[in-house]
Amino acid sequence: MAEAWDVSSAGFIKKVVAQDAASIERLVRAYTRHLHNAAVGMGFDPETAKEMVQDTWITFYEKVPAFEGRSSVRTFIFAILYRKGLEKCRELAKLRKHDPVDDVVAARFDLRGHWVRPPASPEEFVLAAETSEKFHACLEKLPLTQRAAFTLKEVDDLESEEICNTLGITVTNLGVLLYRARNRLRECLEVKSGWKS
Amino acid sequence: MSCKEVVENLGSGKELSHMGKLKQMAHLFMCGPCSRYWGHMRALRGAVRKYFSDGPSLTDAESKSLEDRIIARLLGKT
Repeated sequence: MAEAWDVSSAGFIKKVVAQDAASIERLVRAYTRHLHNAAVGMGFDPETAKEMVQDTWITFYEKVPAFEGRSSVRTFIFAILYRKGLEKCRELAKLRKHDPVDDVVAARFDLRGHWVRPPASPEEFVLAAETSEKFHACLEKLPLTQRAAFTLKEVDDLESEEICNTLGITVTNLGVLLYRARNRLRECLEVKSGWKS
Repeated sequence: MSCKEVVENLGSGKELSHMGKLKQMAHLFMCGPCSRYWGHMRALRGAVRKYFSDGPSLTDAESKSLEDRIIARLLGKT
């Protein structure tokens, strides 16, 4: 019985695919809040996030009979949410060839790759990062795809392969998105920490 | 390995070979600015987790209400 309620067990997945009411309810209870968090994490306001979560479950319910178990149910559900988010913003998973943050980071090094403007002291930086308003203001500046990749990696703890499946991108593209997201956040928080190098 | 390469590796989460990891660790041990940068990466991870756990999310009541609506809508189809 315990195995049947484990949302990653083969028995449970079989029931979900068969649209078993109790199993679907179990999934909705298990993941709705996480989905809402993820939608807010992508930059949508709480009400829009609620609509996205409802749409995600409807799509999931329609598609689940064809679920082949190649990814986890969780990844399958989150992939639907992220696709909806990306479609909604018309950004799709297209990677910009150039991002201004690349120049900002490059300008911190000399031609030999040594720092010319070293990073802020850890204490000031941590203080800025842990101040909710400052962190929120910097997070808001991330483009949707960077924000999605960053939160899937750091908050949802997904493996790179799962993130790539979810966002429909390659591992190389994921590296670029994470690099840009982390550096954009880092540069923004550094400014907010009052650091002058 | 230059500082710029270390920053690129840490920022992108690039998978390194065993030798690459050793070189990078040695660099981080000896280079103050890169060590700071690494500290910033760790701080970002902690901050984003804290931000989402303190959360701009749903209260228990809001979550329950949303789940109930979804369940009613989905299972009305069966």
